[in-house]
Amino acid sequence: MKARHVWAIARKEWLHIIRDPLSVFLLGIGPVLMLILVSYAMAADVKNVPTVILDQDGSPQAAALIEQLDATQTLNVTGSVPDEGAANDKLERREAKLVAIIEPGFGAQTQDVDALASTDAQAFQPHLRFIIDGTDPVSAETAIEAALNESERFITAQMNATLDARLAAGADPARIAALRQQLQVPIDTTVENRYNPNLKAIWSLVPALIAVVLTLPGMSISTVIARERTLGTFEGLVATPIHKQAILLGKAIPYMALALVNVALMLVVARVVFGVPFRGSLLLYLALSGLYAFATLAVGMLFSILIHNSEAALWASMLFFLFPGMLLSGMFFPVEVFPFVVRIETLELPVVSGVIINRGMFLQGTGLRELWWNILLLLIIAVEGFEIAGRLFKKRIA
Amino acid sequence: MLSRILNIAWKDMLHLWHNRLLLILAIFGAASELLLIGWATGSQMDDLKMAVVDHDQSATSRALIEQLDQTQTLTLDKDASTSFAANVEHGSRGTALDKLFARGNIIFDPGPVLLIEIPAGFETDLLAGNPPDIEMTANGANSLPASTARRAAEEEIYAFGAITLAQHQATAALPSITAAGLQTVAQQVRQQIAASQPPVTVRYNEELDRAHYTTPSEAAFVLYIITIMIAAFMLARERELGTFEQLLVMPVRPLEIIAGKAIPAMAVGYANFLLVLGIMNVVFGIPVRGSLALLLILAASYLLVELGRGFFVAMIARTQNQALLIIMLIAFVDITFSGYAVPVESMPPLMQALSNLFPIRHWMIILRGILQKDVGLSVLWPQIAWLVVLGVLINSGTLWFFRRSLSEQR
Repeated sequence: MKARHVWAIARKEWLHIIRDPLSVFLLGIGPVLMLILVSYAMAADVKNVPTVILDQDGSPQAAALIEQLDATQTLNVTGSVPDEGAANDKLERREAKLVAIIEPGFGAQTQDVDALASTDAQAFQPHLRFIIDGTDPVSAETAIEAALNESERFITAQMNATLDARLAAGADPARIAALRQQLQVPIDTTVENRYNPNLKAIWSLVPALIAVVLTLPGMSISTVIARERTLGTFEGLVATPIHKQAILLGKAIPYMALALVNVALMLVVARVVFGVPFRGSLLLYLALSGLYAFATLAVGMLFSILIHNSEAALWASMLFFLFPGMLLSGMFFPVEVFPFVVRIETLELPVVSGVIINRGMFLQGTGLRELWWNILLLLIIAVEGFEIAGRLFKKRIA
Repeated sequence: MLSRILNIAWKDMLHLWHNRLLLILAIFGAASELLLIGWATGSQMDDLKMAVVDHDQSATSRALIEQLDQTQTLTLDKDASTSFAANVEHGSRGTALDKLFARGNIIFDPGPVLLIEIPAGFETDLLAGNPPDIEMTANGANSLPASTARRAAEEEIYAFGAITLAQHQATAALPSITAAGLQTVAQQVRQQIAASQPPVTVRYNEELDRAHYTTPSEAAFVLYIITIMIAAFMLARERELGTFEQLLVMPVRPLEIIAGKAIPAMAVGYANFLLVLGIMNVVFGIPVRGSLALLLILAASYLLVELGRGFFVAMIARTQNQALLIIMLIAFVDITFSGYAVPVESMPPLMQALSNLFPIRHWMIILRGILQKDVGLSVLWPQIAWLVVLGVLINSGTLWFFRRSLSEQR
């Protein structure tokens, strides 16, 4: 395998790519465009969940609760309904995702501080309930948490105010203190979210997405040999005195160059447009991105050689890169909690390691010490992929 | 006319048949991927690891740790807890946290997602009625498991505090109280806590199973992307190989070529959809609550809309490779606007408006509506109207484009 040979093939492939302006455009800045569009759309935190109210109570307290629910970021009160049938209808038409039902007696109950001393669990049952559309579990959970927290805070505040009023009116301070004790949270908790203090979705999405869209060159290379076969230029390639591994390597180099250009562009976009912090070492990041791109190219190349037909090669690489990229990569659903069998299955997906490396280097400032395992995985995929591709690639005309 | 269409369809069927690898990959690849995705995302987030630092070392703090460990969501990671404590002593808190949270090997050794620190004086403060402050640090780099763990921990800490206080008061009032008596107190407190929460009814996906959200998404993709791909590639290949000209000199009209090529693409896409629908129902227990017949009819109509896009791609692309890249980018955008991972309702208003131009957005609403909500035409008609409008626009655009590029070639 001579460097001159590799270079010659790389140049030929490069000319192939740049003489096709549409491909240059799609491969050159396609990933960056995707990053911007998808991040902008998907990084929305769950907010403004459409909520309708069924107020059977009509007290001023009920009105105050509705106002307080509407004031949250997560919920957005869009209207009220006369009965539960109408609420169901709203859910079915997706005009509402959450229904808050304020039952008769809610207002009176929030003033009834004496019930706090009761030992009967039923006395604590608030005259309030919720119905949630569970179709999308992630946003449903967020909406439920917001609704429950907010109503609990409201009831506690109301009761405290009533206690204050009674104290001012001359009630027995000892009894008031005992009742107030019931309202107090026994243990306070404070939470700090390290690496992403405000849990901004965009901070965790953008680094992961960079890894996912960087599989585009890998998908594209999967048709590269098949194309030569369909076009008949494969014979010319076979006739050259170039070693087969040199052909494969040469073909990968232009794609590699495009991938690195993309990495640099996306890094800038992530920092400048989306304000995601970058805490790791830049040099290491570029090196690891190169390794990651090489691993995806190796897999793409393997498909290209295994499958002689370009549609089938393409479909295989889509099954391997595109769908898992979205759902199995850890971008939205954490890989840690997958069943063990599926976790083992993800070992062969470079995108899983890519997401970990990107998130680690952007948000956590990790280095070689923490990432060695993922680097090893990528190295194995890259080297093995190329080696097997080289072994299966026959310079022979079938 | 029909016989000419069928002739072309037959020709392309033969093409596909000779390309059996694609068929096998298309059908079984999609099916096995659906299984993988359903299993992966449907798993409950149980046994998330936590590290605990106990500055109090009292009976109460140890009891709290045990309570947390016994919840379904949380598991105590003893090694990580000890090494974190040691790292804090030898270095800074920051590096110790990094060592705790930043891990690469999440397949065999997923680290803790939450650190809980119990302050010194926890027991005395709690029993004296001054709420002690427990500090938690979550791994925000991976926020979904971290917030799940945090939620579970907060709930359990609250219950533990209330129970401990109640038991303390009960012991003060009646020093001779038995262990069984204390147990009853604990039970009463738990009942009270449960009762004081407003009840929540979850509709349509009662268990909040994530697989019920992700697998329909995957099914929708399988249906559309295989159809687009086959349509685009059949045409792009003819153009690349030059056999397109042969098609042109044949005594068939452009519309007939398109229709003939549409049939095999639809057949494969539809077969795939049926298989995936079956798997969803049998393996993941996703019901078809609405009318199956309506679903099947609408699926076919939806395919017609997407086919137009497939041919359109083939019109723009000169080679298969270009077609591939364009499909890739389209797929990314479609995934975004289908509400795959993030509901469209949470997106910025501009994006929400834009999403209406993508057929898959309407198809996802129809699919989820019929599968989970048992809704029919009376609710779904706006989506169907959108699909009709988009279908007419896309398909007439494609046909116009096709005619134009034909006259260019002639």
